[in-house]
Amino acid sequence: MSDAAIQIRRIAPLSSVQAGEREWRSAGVPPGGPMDDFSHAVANVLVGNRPDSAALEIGFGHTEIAFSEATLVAITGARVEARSNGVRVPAWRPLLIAAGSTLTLGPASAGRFAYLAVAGGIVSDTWLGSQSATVHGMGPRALKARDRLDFNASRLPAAFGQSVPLRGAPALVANWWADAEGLIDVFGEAPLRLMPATHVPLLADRNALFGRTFLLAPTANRMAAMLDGDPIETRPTSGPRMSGAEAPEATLERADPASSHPRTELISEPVTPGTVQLLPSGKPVVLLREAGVTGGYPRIAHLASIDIARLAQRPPGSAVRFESISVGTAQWLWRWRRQRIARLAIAARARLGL
Amino acid sequence: MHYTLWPLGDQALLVRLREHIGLAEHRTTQRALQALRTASVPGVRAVTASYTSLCVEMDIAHADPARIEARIAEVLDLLPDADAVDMERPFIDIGTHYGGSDGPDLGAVAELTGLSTRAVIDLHAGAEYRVAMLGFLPGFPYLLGLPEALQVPRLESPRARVAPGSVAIAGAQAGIYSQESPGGWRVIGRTEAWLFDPTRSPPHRLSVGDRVRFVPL
Repeated sequence: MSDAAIQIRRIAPLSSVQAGEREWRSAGVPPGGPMDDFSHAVANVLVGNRPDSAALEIGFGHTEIAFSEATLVAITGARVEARSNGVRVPAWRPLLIAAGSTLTLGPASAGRFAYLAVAGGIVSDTWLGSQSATVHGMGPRALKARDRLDFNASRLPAAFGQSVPLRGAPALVANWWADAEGLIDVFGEAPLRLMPATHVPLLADRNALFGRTFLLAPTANRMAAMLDGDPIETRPTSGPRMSGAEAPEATLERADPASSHPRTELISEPVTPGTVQLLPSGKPVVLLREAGVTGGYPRIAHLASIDIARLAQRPPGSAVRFESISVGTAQWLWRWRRQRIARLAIAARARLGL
Repeated sequence: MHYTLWPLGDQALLVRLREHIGLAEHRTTQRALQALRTASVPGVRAVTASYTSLCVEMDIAHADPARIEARIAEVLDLLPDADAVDMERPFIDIGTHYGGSDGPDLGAVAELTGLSTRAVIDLHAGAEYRVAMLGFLPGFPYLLGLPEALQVPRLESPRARVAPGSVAIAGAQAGIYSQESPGGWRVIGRTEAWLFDPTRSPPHRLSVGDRVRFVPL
């Protein structure tokens, strides 16, 4: 199948191949997948791929990729300065990179993760039903310099809209693009939207997450994002509890013996990406794509699925505010966004003549 | 059957069957799990169990969440509330090397419980366990059935590295580290049995509801 390849000369840390989610919760395996699933899907559909095709998720730093063949690509996600053979090329548009060219991406000026999709999709090992790389020590690893990535060479587009040849640059840039910021507010500072969760009654103030500003802790990773700020108070409870019921992890934060916030011991229950748990320190933590599938800390909210990408794109130290959303509205927005991506996919394929 | 149903975000539902942990509660949870899997409700991607709750993952792009919820309630309402009978399942034996470098906390557990290391091994290996859930790490089994005499607090400060296959206990729980990981449970032995292998189908050796015994080697 794979008859073409790109060569990674330099790669930003924490870059990886990401595709769809895994469906192995029954085995204790997190779903994984792109941190910003929206930008990932848009990059793919701009080059005629399925939204969950394997594409590159690029962390913060310099990246340089060499193309031996003419290749249709799209860059989305974090705002990065992209250059083909030194000439600036735009994001959120299909680009036809000429054979023998290099594409460089600089550090992001907004956002954290950029995405690079290649027409035909990256060919790599599937692990438990998905090509998505993981951080938990099993499955596909992060990318490093000198990696060679195969992809399914697809036919080059018969039509390229009315492409705009860049003067002196061996890249063709489509004259149409995805209006990403009109679809979701990827980089804006608008509040992230939270739904209620089972353990809200444990909070001394059930609106404790609203009407204030948290700071995104520097430890944010593919598993979780901790939020700094004045601790959230809980009240004594008679709810279900069991000594030592939470997971045996040392990954988040242990009970702080000096903390004045008594630890609430709960029976471990399912958690999902977007679940907001309250740590014994009184700090909330938002679980992300590669969090474990069960958790024993109080679940005090769930981030709307549509907003996980927005949180994932916030750099460490940025201010985070929340507002309330109903489950029904969050589901409606998620379906709306999915339909918009599907429509974009149809339009892109038509314009590309695929 | 008594249960409570909550949204678990916008893509899943949480069904809580019981408020305490135990074998009877586990059996009730298992019965609800089997009933919901058998019902194969349209729009449900998967149903998985934890100690006393179920996670119902929904495909909200193709199904109406309200209808899924109603159908789940229908299935659960038909189940009797009486304790479910034990499911007959063969034991899965986990050959275990106790103590030494394989079980660095065996001595401390003996000290904390006032037992001899021999007695700790005999008690741990003499008990029958049930897999209550998989989580924390891929293939990590949370086991019910640890004898009360062996219930000790977890380590004051977690280890940065727990060896794969480590057989460990914490509070009322027992488990096996399916891969290398940081961890705060007390490690009393180690097994070479496979627990998680993505090249196999299914990739996990132990499933929720399985019966497990530890066999000293």
